[in-house]
Amino acid sequence: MKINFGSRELNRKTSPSGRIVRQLFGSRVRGARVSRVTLALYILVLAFFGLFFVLPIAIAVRGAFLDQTGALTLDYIREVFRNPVYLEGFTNALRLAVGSTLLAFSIAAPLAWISERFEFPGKSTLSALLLLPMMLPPFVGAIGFRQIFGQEGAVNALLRAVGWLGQNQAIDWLGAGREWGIISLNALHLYPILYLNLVAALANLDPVLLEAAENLGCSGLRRAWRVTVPLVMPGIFAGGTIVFIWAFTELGVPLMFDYYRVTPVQIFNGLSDIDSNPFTYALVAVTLIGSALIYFVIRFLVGKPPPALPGRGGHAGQITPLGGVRGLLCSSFFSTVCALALLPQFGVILVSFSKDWYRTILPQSFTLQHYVLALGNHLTVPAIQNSLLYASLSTAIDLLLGVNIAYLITRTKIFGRSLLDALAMLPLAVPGLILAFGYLALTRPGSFLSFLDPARNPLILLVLAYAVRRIPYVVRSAAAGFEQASVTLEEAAQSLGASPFRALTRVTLPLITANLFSGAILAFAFAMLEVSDSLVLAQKQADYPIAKAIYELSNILGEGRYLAAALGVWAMVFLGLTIAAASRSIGAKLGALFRG
Amino acid sequence: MMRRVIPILFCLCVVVAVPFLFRQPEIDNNSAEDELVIISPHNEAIRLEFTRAFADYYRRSTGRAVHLDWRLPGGTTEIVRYLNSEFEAAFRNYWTQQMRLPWDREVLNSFANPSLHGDVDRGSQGERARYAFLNSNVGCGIDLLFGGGSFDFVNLANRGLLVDSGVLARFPELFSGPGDLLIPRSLGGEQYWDARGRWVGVCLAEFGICYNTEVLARLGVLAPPTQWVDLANERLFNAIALADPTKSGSVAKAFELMIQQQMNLRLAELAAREGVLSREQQEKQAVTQGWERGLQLLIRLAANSRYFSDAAPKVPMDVAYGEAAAGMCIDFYGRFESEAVADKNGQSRLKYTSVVGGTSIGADSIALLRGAPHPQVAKAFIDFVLKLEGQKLWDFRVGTPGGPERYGLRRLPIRREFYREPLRAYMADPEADPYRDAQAFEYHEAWTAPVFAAIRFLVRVMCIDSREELVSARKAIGSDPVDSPAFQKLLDVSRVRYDIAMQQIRDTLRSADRVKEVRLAEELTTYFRDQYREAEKMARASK
Repeated sequence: MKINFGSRELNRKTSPSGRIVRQLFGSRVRGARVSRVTLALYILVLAFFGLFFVLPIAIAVRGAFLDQTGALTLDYIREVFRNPVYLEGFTNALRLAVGSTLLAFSIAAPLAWISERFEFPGKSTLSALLLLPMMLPPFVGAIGFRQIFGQEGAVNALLRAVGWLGQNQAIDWLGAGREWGIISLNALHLYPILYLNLVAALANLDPVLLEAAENLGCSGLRRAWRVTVPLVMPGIFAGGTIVFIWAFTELGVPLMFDYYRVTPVQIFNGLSDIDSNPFTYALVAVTLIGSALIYFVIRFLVGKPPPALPGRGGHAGQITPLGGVRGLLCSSFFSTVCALALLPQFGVILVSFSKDWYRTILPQSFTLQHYVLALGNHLTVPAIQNSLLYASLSTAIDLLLGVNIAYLITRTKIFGRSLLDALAMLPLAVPGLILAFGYLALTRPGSFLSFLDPARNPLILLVLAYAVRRIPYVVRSAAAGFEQASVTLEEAAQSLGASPFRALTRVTLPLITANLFSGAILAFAFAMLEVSDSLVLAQKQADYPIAKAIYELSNILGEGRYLAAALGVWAMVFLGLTIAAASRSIGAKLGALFRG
Repeated sequence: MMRRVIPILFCLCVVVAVPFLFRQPEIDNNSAEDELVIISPHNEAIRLEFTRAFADYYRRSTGRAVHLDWRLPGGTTEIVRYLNSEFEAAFRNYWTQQMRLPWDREVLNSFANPSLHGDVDRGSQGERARYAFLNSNVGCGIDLLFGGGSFDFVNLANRGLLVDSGVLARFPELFSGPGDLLIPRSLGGEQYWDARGRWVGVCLAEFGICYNTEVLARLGVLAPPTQWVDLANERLFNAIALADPTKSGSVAKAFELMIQQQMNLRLAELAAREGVLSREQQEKQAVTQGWERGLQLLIRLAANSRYFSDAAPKVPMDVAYGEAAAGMCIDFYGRFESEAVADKNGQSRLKYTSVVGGTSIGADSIALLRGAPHPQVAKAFIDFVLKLEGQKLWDFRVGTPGGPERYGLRRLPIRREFYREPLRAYMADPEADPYRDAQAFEYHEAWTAPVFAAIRFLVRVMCIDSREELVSARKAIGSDPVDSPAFQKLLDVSRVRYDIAMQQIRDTLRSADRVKEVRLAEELTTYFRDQYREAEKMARASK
């Protein structure tokens, strides 16, 4: 079959379908340089997003506006705003998100600045270690966090050992500051996203502009505030919004801290009577609208790129080598942040090897038994198989759609491609819980999609949910690749007789393999430990992915926490290796994935 | 590039392969010939032991392999909600698609309404809907409900979600006749099986207190708690672990029993007085005043609470690791966790104690659901759980003949022969005799069963949704006596008197209009939050 990307074909065709397409798009297709295949791709992508992203969310929101007899009502939405508990849940979620974002920023900003300006001992290793916390699920880290900061945990034991606390005293670190615990854990988990964006933004900063500012008398903090910050603002926005939305909709960490007056937990609690409790729908609607509003308002206010920036003009930013005390100070700062960020993970590792860890700084005795039991548990192997299957399939879908979307965005002039670009990024603004919730509503008995009921087999829904939520990573990396690979190479191939499809697959795609690989591996890694979709959609034990298996194991009395920790460590090692493979294959390009 | 990545990919393959090497093969029954779908609040340990033992039993008795598909939406309360919503959706589908009739509020309110008999297919649309439901095979794809207290089973049976499994006829020695194996229909006011065979109890449970001896010592609490009121000790502020009764039926039951105990105590006080009150008047007064005292006790416990966890097993776990000093938990949770953290000499920092006179012994039950897709396998499972093979799993020590293989479940079987020799010798809790202990507490169903849902609701609005204000007020009150004005303000429950709970609150909760329930919740939450803030102000002003 000959596949023709040429736009002239569309104009010449007089088939009925071609006429309809021209009637629909003819006047709107810019320059009319859109082939049928491109249009088909466009429609395919829109149909996918329409069916598996927009529709489930619309259904979730619709339930908030219909009463039990199907009549239109605003009572449920009004009740959400009248009910102080729901309102407080919403403001708490906002507060946690703001706190997490600010703390993540205050960790990431100095790290990025130092990394961009100075060379110091151990920089490359420490920079790689900084990325690790992002790749580990925070709800697993919470087991270690509680072990370290619990009243009979390691920190209090240390304080008793050094005599700062009496033997009958304990500081209630977690009980006294549950919100701070959540904010800290979120920030320590998510700061790498901001760090990567800030490093990328600072690297793209033209030093000529800074020199010019200095020559005109603007230096020091004033230059940083008046010149540097505005120039890196898109980077701050890109990372900040991801961190903000992530923290705003986080479910696992508040659950671990027994913090229930927060919207994602309230929605989660409402799931068990989804059909008869319309307020859960209303909460979903309010959360979704809130998320989207916040996202777009911030994007509008902050995210606009600086006007008509000149190119870097061959100037490279100067990196100052630091030795001696100053170099050591930088290394110490990086090491401290790494140690703090990885503290929960250290805790989880120690818990997984300990027999009983109570009132001591370190476990008193060690065992490998928890690994034998956790990895041999009947939940574990099926869960690993399920997760591998779900994550692989969803990554394949992400790659297929991501390349298509990136191609449409960067290589065509099709109408609405900016909208498509935004649509492809929107899953970042939509909580996984809400999407899963929409899927659940979409597949109720009687619905045209009831055959996808997750109670029977959640495979398709979980794969779709994972795919939709991770697609921004692949789209961004593929789009970056398309933009970097010159279109002239494709045109040269076509002028030598290759079809556009052949030129794409034989010339451009091989050139951007690293970008695709990096996007795919991130999509895969995040899908492997997805929490919110899994908690809702995987209802049968045989269908559990790894995240839900860990959650189940953690609820076994007695050895549950040790088994969950052991399986958590397995997941950490797996993800760490996955990320190591990604880092080695793409090097410093990882940051480009997170630019909004 | 690939040369740098290959070693890592190799490590990745090794990491993925390790769980496959450790895998336990005996539970791999996904390719079985028969299937059974069970919805359950039981934990992984119980599921694992019953899955293994039933698969063996089924293979021996039928020659076929069976796969158990466990559905786990949460605690009993969440399961009940889940089943109600699934059956509503299934019946709505049946009514509109198969019967081609319009769906309206009357149908919605009637099809599972226990007050409608649904004996004949005539009358109002609601009566016809009830008839259609009770004579249908509408189901939600699940065979059995396994686990949970009798209250929820009674309600589900009355709504029509449960059907007779024929178990009473298959076990005449347990449910009829004069033999010494007979399981009483009810004991101490608790029901143990349904007269129409729609559900039967399979093991027994009570509520008690778990506590950490070392944490109690650290907080200066010298005597371990033995009664619910001991958990209201001021020294235990922010140190009590409680579970959310809106998530767990067994926890809700414990709160109900706490109130019943206060009613019993008040009745005893009134009976001891020489006065003019008749027995009926005494009981009426004891119920209304005991209700108030019970709610006040709940407020005091909540004021000392560290949290209301969504998972009941978290309570003994947190107490064992010192995150809380004490908590309310079901007996086997306490015993199980106590054994898990015991040292080599069997000494454990976690202790479990029954609350003498403060708890009844209830039955944990099993039932066949309407429209079960695999009814024969489901009946075989019910039979297995009631036979000696299944009953031995509950409390036999690990490794004893017929006992559990991996986990000691520490639950008390319902069959009476386990509390006599020779079976008693194999029990992990040989001193236990629930049939003896059950006589120490008389549960009066008429007193609190009608307001069981209201108790859950009130705990939510008075204690959980208002917890922050309550705890803050309690902190401000400090060591002030209970009769101080601020404390009395804190404990004022006049807005939710017994008569109000029996009428306004109960009626609202029964209504299908959830807006009413949410509005009442919002009104009462605001009321109590304001009350607690006022109490805090008074306490601060008095110092």
